Parts: sequence; structure tokens; C-alpha cells
Amino acid sequence: MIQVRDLVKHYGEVRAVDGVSFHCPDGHITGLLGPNGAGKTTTLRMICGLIRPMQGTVIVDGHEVGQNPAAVRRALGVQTDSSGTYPRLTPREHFKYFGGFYGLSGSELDARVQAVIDMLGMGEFADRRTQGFSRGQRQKVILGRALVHDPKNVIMDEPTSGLDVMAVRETRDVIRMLRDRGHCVLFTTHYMDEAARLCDRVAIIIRGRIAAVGSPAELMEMTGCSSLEDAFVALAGGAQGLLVSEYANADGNVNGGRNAGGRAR
Amino acid sequence: MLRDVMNIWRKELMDTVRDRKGMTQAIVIPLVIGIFYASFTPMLMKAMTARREKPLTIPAQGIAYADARLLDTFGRYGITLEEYEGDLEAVIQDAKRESGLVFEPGFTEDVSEERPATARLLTNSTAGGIFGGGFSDTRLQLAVGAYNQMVVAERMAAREVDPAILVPVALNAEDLATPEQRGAFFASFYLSILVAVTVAQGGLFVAIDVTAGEKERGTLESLLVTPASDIAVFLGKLGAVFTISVIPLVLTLTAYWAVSNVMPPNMAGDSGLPGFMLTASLLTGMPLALVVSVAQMMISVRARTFRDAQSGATPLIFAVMIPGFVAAFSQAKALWSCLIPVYGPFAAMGRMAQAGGLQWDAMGLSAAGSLIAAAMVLPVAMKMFTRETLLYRS
Ligand SMILES: Nc1ncnc2c1ncn2[C@@H]1O[C@H](COP(=O)(O)OP(=O)(O)OP(=O)(O)O)[C@@H](O)[C@H]1O
Ligand SMILES: [Mg+2]
Repeated sequence: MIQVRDLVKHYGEVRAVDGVSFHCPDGHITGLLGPNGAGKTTTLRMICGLIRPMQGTVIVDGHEVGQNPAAVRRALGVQTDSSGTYPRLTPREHFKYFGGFYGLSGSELDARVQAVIDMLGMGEFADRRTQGFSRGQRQKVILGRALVHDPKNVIMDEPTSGLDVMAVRETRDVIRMLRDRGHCVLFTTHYMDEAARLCDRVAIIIRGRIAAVGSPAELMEMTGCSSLEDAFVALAGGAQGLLVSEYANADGNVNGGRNAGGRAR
Repeated sequence: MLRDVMNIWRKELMDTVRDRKGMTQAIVIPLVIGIFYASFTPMLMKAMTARREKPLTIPAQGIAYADARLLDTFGRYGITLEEYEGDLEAVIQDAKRESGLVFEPGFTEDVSEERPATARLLTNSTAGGIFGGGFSDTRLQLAVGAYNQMVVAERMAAREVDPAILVPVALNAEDLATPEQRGAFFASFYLSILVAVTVAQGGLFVAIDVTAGEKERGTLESLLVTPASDIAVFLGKLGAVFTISVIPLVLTLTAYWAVSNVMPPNMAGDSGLPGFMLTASLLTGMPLALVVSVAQMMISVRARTFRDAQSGATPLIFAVMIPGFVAAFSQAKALWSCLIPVYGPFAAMGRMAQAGGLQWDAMGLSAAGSLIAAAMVLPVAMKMFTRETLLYRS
């Protein structure tokens, strides 16, 4: 269970996250949707304690991230948006290394590692160094190391971007399976059909603010659109229009640079 | 906490050991340097000695005018004169020969009739190149001195005077340095430089790889979303850097010691590294390596890329090498100077070399200086090592 209340994070002039609240119940898949630069990644980073929020609270399974970051991280499995692996280690070694941080060791750790390898269908390349891995293979390593300790809450930043059809399906199956086992899943995506198909709940974030929260059906009903994509565009477009006047500088031009391109790391 | 530190330490070591480039830097290069120093120095000394004892042939003119006993004396000093036809002055001027002797007619008569007799010694100090040239007239002066003494003694005897009155002061020089001292003293010069070079470079590659490298590869975020504390991550990585930087130190010094001691004594001369100096330089070098590792971590943590970190670390390399070189070239180190961070270990090495044995006070002070420096830098480094600044500092 992840509860986010009134999160704020500004980078100088840029209001990356500007008062975001939502919650993700156990046994549900929650999708965080928003255009590039909306503040999705920044929100996720604050949830796992990588960034200290200027305001607001994050509570994961009863632990507040500011007060007990280690407990929050222990309750979380996070697939970050940077998809690097250690080129000289095999996936199995990755999983063992990361599992070690969650108090796993010995045969218990070995068993968990093997379970993840089987779950993600990595048998063929589990013992090959990740040097030269394809994007899909690397994505599995990153996903696997987030799941090795069987976390109650799973956060994924764009888990399906850049994958082929087969890999996308596999990833979605894993997400569903996690939900069915009662995990709390929070993920971001730019694919609206994916969100419509997977998500029990959707939070739409635009320019650092939550524009709407609800099930895909509720959002379609609310906007009177027949697809989630249309509903998203209606919400995003409306807000964008509103923000043009709010962010316009003296020349009347939109100060676009700060939100273009998205992820400044 | 300790488990996390160990987990990170183990993984970073495994990662580094598998990196061929990094391992070459950490193992092969130090071995080669150690062996090279150990074998090169005595060879150089040997060459210099050999040159000093090599028979000397000097082109000369007017040898027939020279006193036969003078030529005998030259012979005893390994000097042979060889009659030169042609313009001797010109060939020396042209640096084709290094030196020449010219005797004028009447030389022998001047000597026997007790008139001052002179011979001209021509030299060109630029002949023969930097290493091959530079004719030394020491041997010639010695030979002439011996000859003069002989002649003076004869003349005094003829007048029934004791030749001893001509020598009011006799300086009897005795070198009291023990062979151990001589060996250690010679070695301490090279040791300071060796230790400085290995410590300055040893763990740098790893320090960069585990910080800036991890940022560049995009793996750092995944590590920092684990429950491991910032301090555990820092200490685990520092431990790996320190371990890897001690390996080349141990290898270089051991190789130096081993090679200089297996060489036959006539080859090694005085340059064999005594065992106690190996212990001394390891015990003083390791705390130094710790300070340097912390500093290397601090610099690479700030860097965003490998390249960034490499250029950022250049001043640090000099900050270690310069005190090492200063210590190598300077004499007599006061005990208190062993406490100076970075310089202290080299000072301690110098003191022990001179004393010809281990000095626990010097080693203790140098270790204390290093540990104090590390304790001062460590909090600063750890303060910089927080999740947010590490990942998203722009
Ligand atoms: N470290 C940083 N320094 C300055 N600005 C930042 C930083 N991180 C994020 N931002 C800005 O904050 C805003 C939100 O970025 P964020 O990465 O959260 O967007 P996002 O919703 O994940 O976008 P995308 O869909 O492209 O991944 C952007 O305008 C971004 O430029
Ligand atoms: Mg993002």
C-alpha cells in the first residue's frame, strides 16, 4: 500500500511536482500517466526516497519515507528508469547482489534468484555476463533485481518502453501476476491501451499536478470519451491550454524549454 | 550495516577482478615496475663502477720525452699512452677524442735536474655524449700525485730529510655505514618514489569505476533504492578501493625486494632491499593508501563521468607524488615530520633506512598522521555521498 500526500518538488523555476496526492491499494495495479516532463519519474523517486520532497509525505505499508527510509525501501521493489546493468556480472550475480541487501542469503537467496529467473524466462542467459545484452534482456535484469526480494510493493518506471511485442506481453503478464498475488503495483507508461488494459486505477499527472484519478472506465465517463487515450488527451490538452497562460513569459511565448525532453537526470 | 558493506565490497572486488584493463593496471604494471627498479638500479651502478675501472688509453704526443718511471706509474693506474700523429688539439676540439697529453722536449731532464716539469692535458668536456663522455681526470691526477710523491721522497732522502714533514695532516677516512645501512639508504630513495607512484595511481581506476562509472552506466539508482544506507554504500566501495590499491603496493615492493635479493651479490652490489625496509614501507604505505583512497572517492563522487573523474584526480596524483619525491631527495628527517599527512610515511621510511632498522615511533607517528587525515576527510566525503547529491547533482 503506497500513500502519497501533497508531494512538492521544484527545481528552481520548474515545478516538477506540485502537490501530488494519490494512493495505490494492495492487489491493484495503479498507472501513473502523464505527458513527457509531467513529473512522473520525480514522483516515483520521492516515493523510494531518492529525492527528498520539499513538502508532503509518502507512506509505504505504514512507514513514512522521511522518517524511516530504510523500512520504506525494504517494502519496495523499484525498477528505475535508467536501464544500466553491470557488464561484467551475470544476471544471476546481479540478483544475488541485490537480494543481499534485503537480508537474504544462502540457499534462501539462491532459491529466490532461481524463482525470478524462471518467472522472467531468463534461463538461457542467466549465467552470461550482461555485456552486450539486448535492451529486452537488460530490461529483464532490471525487473528481476527489483523483484528478487519478493517485495510487497512494486514500482516500475516505463517497464515496457522499447521492448518488442513478445517482451511487452511477458512484462504485462508479470505485472498482472503480481497483482493477482496481492502485491501493490505502481507503474508509469506512455501507452494508453496498455494502461486501459492493465490498470485498476489511473492517476493522470500534468505539469506536476494530479488532473484526475479513477478507474479507466471512470475517467472515460468523466470526460465523455470512448477511449482512455481520448480521455487522456482531453485532460492533458485542457490543462496544457490552461497552463499556457500561466507559464507564458512577457513576450507571450510559452517557456517550453523546462518541460521539453522530460528526464533531466 | 556490516552485511551491506561486505556485500558491496565483495561485488566491487569481483567486478574489478573481472576487468582485464583494471587488473592489468593493478597487478601486471606494479610487478613490472618493481622488477624493473630492482634490476635496473644495480645495473646502472655496475656500469658506473665498470667505467671507473676500465683501462684508459690516452692519445699523447711526445711520449718519448716523458720519464719512463712516470709511464710505469700510469701503467699501474691502468693508463696507457698512445702516440698520436696529427693535430691532437684539433681532434679534441672537434670532440672526436675526449682528452690528450702533450709532453715537451726536455721533460725528463727537467725532472731529474729538479726543475718544474709540465705536461699539457687537453680535454673536451662535451665529447662522448651525456652518459659516455665527460672525461674524468681523477685517475690521471692520482697517478701523477703518486709519481710526485715518489720523486719528492727520493729528493728528500738525498738531502737526508724525513719526507713525513711534508704531510702535517693525514686524513684517514673510514666509512662507518654498515652494509645494511648502505643497502637501505640506497633503497629508500627508490622506495619513496615507488610507494608514491603506486599509491597515487593504485586504486584510482576502481574509485572512478565504482562511483562515476556506476553513474555513467546507469546502475547507481538501482543500488540506491535498496535499503543499504548511504554510509554502508560508501564504506563498501571505499573498502574495495583500498583493497585494490594495497595490491599493487604489496606486489611492487615484494617484487622489488625479491628480485634485489635473489640477484647474485656481485650483481646487486649495495642495492639489495633489506627485509626490514619491505616491512617498513608496507606498514607506512598502507595507512597512506587509505587516505588516498578516501580522497579518490571524494573526487570521483563529484564527477559525472569517467573522464570527469580522471581529470579531477590529476591534482591528487601530484599531491601524493610530490611529497614522495621531496622526501626521496631530502636528507635527515625529524621525527615530528613523520606526523605530516602524506609526507610523513616517506619521512618515516627515510629515517628507518638511515637507522638501519624498524622504528616503531616513526611508523606510529606516520600511521597516526595518515589516520587523522583520513578521519578528517572521511566525514566530508560521506557528507557528499548522499543519495540525492550523488544521483541528481547538476
Ligand atoms: N535533477 C533535475 N534538475 C532539474 N530539473 C529536473 C530534474 N529532474 C527533473 N527535472 C524536471 O522536472 C520535470 C519533471 O521531470 P520528470 O522526469 O519527473 O518527468 P516525467 O513525467 O518522468 O517525464 P517522461 O515521461 O519524459 O519520463 C521536468 O521538467 C524535468 O526537466
Ligand atoms: Mg520519466
